Amino acid sequence: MSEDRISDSELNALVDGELDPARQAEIEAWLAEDPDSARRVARYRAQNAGLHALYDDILHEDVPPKVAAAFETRRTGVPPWAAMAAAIALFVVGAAGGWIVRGEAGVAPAPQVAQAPRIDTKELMVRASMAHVVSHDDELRRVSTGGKAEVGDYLADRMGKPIRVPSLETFGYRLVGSRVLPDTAGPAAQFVFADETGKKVSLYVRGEQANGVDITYALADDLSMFYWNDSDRSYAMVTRLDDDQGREALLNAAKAVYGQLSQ
Amino acid sequence: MSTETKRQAVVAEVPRLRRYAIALMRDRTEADDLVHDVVLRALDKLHLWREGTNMRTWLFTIMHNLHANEMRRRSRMLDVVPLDTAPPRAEAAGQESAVELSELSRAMGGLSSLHRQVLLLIGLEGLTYTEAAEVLDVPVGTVMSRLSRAREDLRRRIDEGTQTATIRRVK
Repeated sequence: MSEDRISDSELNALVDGELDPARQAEIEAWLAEDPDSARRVARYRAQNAGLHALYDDILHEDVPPKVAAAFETRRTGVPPWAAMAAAIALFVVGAAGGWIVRGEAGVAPAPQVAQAPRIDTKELMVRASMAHVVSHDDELRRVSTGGKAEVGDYLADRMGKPIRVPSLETFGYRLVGSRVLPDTAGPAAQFVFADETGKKVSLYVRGEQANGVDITYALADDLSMFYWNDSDRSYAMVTRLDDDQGREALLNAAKAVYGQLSQ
Repeated sequence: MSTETKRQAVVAEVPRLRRYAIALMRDRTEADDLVHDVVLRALDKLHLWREGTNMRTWLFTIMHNLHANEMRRRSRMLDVVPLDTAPPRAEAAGQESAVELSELSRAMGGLSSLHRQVLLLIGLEGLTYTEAAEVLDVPVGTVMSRLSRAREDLRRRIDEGTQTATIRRVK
């Protein structure tokens, strides 16, 4: 029987999915005849499952400020984030670069405007996500029926500059409120939209002169956002997403807003 | 691929780097220090990462080298016994009870660093044998024999721990 005994390395390779399918089927069949080896395979698999049970939660933790700071120091040479920024784990993921070149494997860099500084994505995202999280009804200026012009006047008055009021009705989202928020760059505007179920999408607009960023996807905590900028403002569309489909819908909404505001 | 895209690929690997570092070092502060150093090194050497190769393996390799340097440095100092500051979750889901998980955590802590590395890279991080060999800079055959010994070592330690626990309960 000893020649039939499965080798240590093959037992391990079975557990780790390193065998080719034919050999795997063979070994699995042998295991039925070799309870000792079968027990070992089960133990090894339990070890792996146990390691995941012990440590997988870490994958969902906020990125600690110390680690986030490493990215900061290598970007601009400036000290780590301001304290407020550190409170929110910021997380830019995925293929960025925007929809203009979307679908390309490699993403072309955004067009560079000479001498213009980089968009401060952290500041934008921290502020946009905070504004989204604390946008309760009573803090927003409610939008009366057909009050788009009124909202526009209200914001223009407080921001000192006209701003177009975007519409997301074709996506099933109604503008439910807007407000002006203090920002280091001067007054910022927030538009809050909600669908029939009350699910919110918000748009944060802050004054910022920076070089171009195409619509780019980012995650901050469990909030998803698409952000971009034009000549004198940065924008972030924020919502809480459940799946990739929602992400696609958010991207389409962002594109629509981008189109409406840059007309 | 633009530098920014590469940077974002590094950002996306941070959770995995942290999971491995915490499981390996068993001390969150030290683990995050290590991840911090890995990120700095990776961003400095970003131009050396070859497009089309595995970013994760590259980052784990950097981590392995930094960790090995740190361990060498420490072995010249006093023997530091790391505290296990990553206790298992209280409400362990699935088949594993909290007791079994804490047994596993304790047994992992007893393994040699070499055994813990190979077990975590393959059993937790899901690296292939070839990738693990690259990260650890050893032949694939070494990975396999080390892994085999590590699993048996872990199994033995868990069994001994469980027996002790049972005896304590019986008394």
